[in-house]
Amino acid sequence: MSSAKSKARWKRIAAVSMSVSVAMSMLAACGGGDGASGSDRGPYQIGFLGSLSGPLAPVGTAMLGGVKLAIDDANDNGGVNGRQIELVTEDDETDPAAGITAARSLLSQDVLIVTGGNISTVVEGVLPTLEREKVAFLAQAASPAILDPVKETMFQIDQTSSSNAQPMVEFASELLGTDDFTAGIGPVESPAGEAWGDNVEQLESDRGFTISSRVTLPVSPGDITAQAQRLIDGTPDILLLQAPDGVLVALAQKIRDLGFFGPIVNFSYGAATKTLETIGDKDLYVLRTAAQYDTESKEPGTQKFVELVDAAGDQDVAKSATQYTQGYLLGLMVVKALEDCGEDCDRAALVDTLNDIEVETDGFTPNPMAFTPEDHLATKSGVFYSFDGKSIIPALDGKAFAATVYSLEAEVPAS
Amino acid sequence: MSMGMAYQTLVGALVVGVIYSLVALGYVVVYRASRVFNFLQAQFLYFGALLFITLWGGEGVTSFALALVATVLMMAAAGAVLYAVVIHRTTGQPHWIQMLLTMFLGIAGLNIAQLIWGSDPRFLDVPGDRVNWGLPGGAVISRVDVAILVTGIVLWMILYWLITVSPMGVRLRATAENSTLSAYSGMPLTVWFGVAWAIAAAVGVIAGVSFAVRLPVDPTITEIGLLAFPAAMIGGMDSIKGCLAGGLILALVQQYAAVVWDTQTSIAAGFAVVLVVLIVRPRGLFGSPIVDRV
Repeated sequence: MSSAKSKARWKRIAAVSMSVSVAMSMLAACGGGDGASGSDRGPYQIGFLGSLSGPLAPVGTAMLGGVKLAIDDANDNGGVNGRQIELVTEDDETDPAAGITAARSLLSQDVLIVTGGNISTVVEGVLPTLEREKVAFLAQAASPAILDPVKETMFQIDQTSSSNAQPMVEFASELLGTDDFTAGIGPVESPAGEAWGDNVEQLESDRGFTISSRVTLPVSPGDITAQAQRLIDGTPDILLLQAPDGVLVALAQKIRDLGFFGPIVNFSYGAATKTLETIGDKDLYVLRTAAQYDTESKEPGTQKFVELVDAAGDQDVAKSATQYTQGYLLGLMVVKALEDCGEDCDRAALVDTLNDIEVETDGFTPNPMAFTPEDHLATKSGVFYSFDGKSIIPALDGKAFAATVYSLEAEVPAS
Repeated sequence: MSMGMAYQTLVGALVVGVIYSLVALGYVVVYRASRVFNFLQAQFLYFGALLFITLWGGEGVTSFALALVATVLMMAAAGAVLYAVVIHRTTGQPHWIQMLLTMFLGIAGLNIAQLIWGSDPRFLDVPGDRVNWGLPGGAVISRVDVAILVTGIVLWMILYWLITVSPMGVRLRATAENSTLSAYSGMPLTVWFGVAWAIAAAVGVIAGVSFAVRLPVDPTITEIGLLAFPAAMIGGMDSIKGCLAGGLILALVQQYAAVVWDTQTSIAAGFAVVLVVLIVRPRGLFGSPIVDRV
């Protein structure tokens, strides 16, 4: 008897529960249809994959700070399409194998896009995993082999270091006022460095200047007396280098100690403001594809960056790590892509959006950042800067010099 | 390679060689006392350089000297405490256990240093580091490099006397030769081993600061510390005299290889010398003969 009563009670409970569920589902469907409240859909999930531990932790951590700067700004201003952006971070431990595990973890968390990627070897390692799932990968560092030919889901924010041979040679010509000059070149010890050195040598035969010495530079600081000696052997007019910031400090000083007082031109993802201030050499020029933390800048995009950095209290890292700036560019690109992709953005739609996008940076980069189906490199030119004893100033009136991984015959855009 | 370049390379190699020998001294002092390969030495460099940068305000030679003395004392104390609290616990265990312990402590130390000071490179702007002196024959040397050379050689002489001639050195040697007999004769082994670790840490500070005035201080400085390990092996793991010789030989080979070939070849050349020494004279150029008593 009691069993029959109990069964009847459970049936009533089940019926009521089902009715309530159906009613709630219908209400939810109605609410979703009017599009009045984007927050119902929850935040956009964005993946960040970078070196947060291991030898390159300073690089990845700085980059994450820059990404957060742009995303926090968007969230503070109401989000994108009424939705907040949530950043999911994973550590590649400066190791390609750990990077693949981290990428899988991000995919399992249903992120719309993966950004970060501060080491080309990790980028190369995780790319197949992300490609299989057709998830866009917006990286800072990749080798030319990855970008050329274009891959549908792979995008890079900064021009590759190897592609900067051309702007550096053109800058040297303009600075010295002649195409007939002698240069000592110092590619860094990496595949990208080798490619850069080869590009400079190709330009040597095309343009007619002379390379007096080619010396491979170490990635990390060590005693570089021998390299400095070889670079200035043959009495070059100018030195074209690819020294990372730590190496540049020691190398520039040693080169001057040994009696070379000509111009030194360097590119290694920018050279941080603090590095240039430490070296304090007025004849040292660095190629930057984006402005840095510059409180004197008149460009609205740079002024906004400075404001955000000040508000976040990140002045030290913004001045000492160029990857912070690169992270900010990644963040800007992600925010614009989500904005264009719309409220119901999914992975496929985001890939389509990134394949045809332009981000106006209001002078923070020499040109707007853009991707097209044929070109997945966002920044395409850079400006050379030097330290005048007080602040970092653009050289040659801020003229922009073009760079591309796709050809050594890029057009120089108007400054 | 021109004569001028060869001469300048020689000058550069002498400075680097002296710094290498300072690092090697740290390895050797601990090995002489306790027969332990101390892979924490590279971390002593890193900690020492960072602590010095923190203590030094950045201006004045006097404050530089005071900060250096304070750092040396603090790190020496830390080295002794580290021995007493951690390494000492493994006394009597096979040496490979102690070696692994120092390796793992080194990894932990690297991360602790980054937690305290962060990973960003730190630069040391020393008064007068942009002053260069011309040498007869055309080579140049900076005032800072001269200071490193003088400090390194004086320190090596002091340690040579302290560890091989002085009564303390004799006791340290005795503990290494036969710790059981030393203990029976009333020698406080823990104290002497602690002293050896304190000296190693103190020398690590001088080596670390010597690197820091020439290069940015970041975690890669520990790699340089390990690159100096062959200097100790070339000279002999228990030879103070061998530290200087090993450091100079290693630096000369590396520097000339870098000038003639490239960076990678220079590192390989350094290890090739170690290989040759290990094959031809396993105890190193000045190491004690390896005697097995039966």
